[in-house]
Amino acid sequence: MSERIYARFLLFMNAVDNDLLEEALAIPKGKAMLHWKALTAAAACLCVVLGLLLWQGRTPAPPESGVTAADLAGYGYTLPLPADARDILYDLLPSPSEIPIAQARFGTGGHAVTLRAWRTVEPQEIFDDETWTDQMDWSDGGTTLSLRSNAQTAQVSWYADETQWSVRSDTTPADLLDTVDDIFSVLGRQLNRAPENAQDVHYNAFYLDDLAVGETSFTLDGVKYVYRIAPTYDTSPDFADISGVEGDFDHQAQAEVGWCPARLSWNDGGPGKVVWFDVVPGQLYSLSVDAGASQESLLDLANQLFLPAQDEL
Amino acid sequence: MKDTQIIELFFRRAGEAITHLAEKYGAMCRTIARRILWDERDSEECVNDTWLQTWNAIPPQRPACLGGFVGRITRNLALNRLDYNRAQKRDSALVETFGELNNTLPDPEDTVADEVTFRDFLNRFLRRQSEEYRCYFLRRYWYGMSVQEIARECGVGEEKVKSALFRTRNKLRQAMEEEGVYV
Repeated sequence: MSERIYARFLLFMNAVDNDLLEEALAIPKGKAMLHWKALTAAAACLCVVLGLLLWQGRTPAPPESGVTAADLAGYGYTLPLPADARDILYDLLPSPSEIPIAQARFGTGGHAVTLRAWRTVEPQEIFDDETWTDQMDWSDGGTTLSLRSNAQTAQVSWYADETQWSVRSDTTPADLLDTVDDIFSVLGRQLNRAPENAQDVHYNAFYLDDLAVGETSFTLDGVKYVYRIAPTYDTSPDFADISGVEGDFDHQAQAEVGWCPARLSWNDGGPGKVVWFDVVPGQLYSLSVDAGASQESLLDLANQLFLPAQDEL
Repeated sequence: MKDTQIIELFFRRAGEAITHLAEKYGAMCRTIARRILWDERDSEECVNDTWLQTWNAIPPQRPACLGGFVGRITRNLALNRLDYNRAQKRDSALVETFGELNNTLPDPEDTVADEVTFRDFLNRFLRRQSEEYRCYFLRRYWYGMSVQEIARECGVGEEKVKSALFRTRNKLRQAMEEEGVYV
């Protein structure tokens, strides 16, 4: 190959946008169609089998305990299920005390979830033992939560108002935390910190540089935001940046969010972030945006979102 | 392990994220590197560098398609090493495949488009194509896959892939001539 053609080759190779290069390696449409055809065929077979069973008067019975929400209410339980929960099965499980453990199994967001509650005077483990590979404990919305997970299963537990709560699902911690966020909403508590008119709200928790971070991501007026909170014992003035956003910015400034010292970095109309530190409870905050940033817009939303931990006490 | 679970491990800065990533996408990345580079050691280094770049990129990034994300990184890293390989006077599979596309391109006239203009033109052209045809075209000429590989992985016949590549090459030639973009 001549040098001229090789130069042309390099020009072509380096000219394509990254998103197109990544898309080309994703699962191709053709293969998805094959799977779809197979699923359609399987569904058709299933319809025939079910039809035969119904015709023979042998409808397969779902596994039922016969326990209803009213039975749970008789023991003082009202389980806070997400609005989109379906295929709900209630149960009452024996416990070491006279008060049984209330359980609801349901489907939400494409995965099966088991929620348990037990009225008890101290925190308890209310699921069977499991070997966990990852675990974290953090506080958010005035509640201490624990997340345990392995490659197959995730579990979130918390103790509040003399009730031990625990939710387990064969899904990712991120998906389970979204379900827990929904459960908190039904309980009238707050886990995610998104503004009321926000859309596509997700809650997550993870370790970042040994800090337990609670993260709320949301879209507001078409712009994506990420809001993070993390407790810290480090009270040095040069506080940590928990935004996870790195890179060079055109502008940097010092300011205040509430009474807290804050650092801002942004490109006009582009990405930006503000990080601040509330020294009294020892809490780090960050708000980052991927577009439309300005000093005023970052500070305005940060002040709206900032709910001082002192107010929760 | 699911992609979302691996990404969660990266967000938690857990070392086993790399292990699971390499287990799931190591073979794919090695194949991409080998199509661009002849040297086995260079290919392996590219793959190892891919894990490092992924570690530095996630977080903050949360890729929608983890396989595509790491595959693209490997490809770009391998291309950066290609000049060294060429000094050994051996063309890689990707360079040879480009010859097929090159033969259908119009000859440059007096005015040659600059890099920025060409990049803008090419991406606009690719985005106008159907997702399916674009996938075949990029897999063939930007990742150096054979027609058989593309057909097998995409679950379609080889003739369909050949026909799609032929049409897209001709459309590209036509678009370059219509817009006067010569390189």
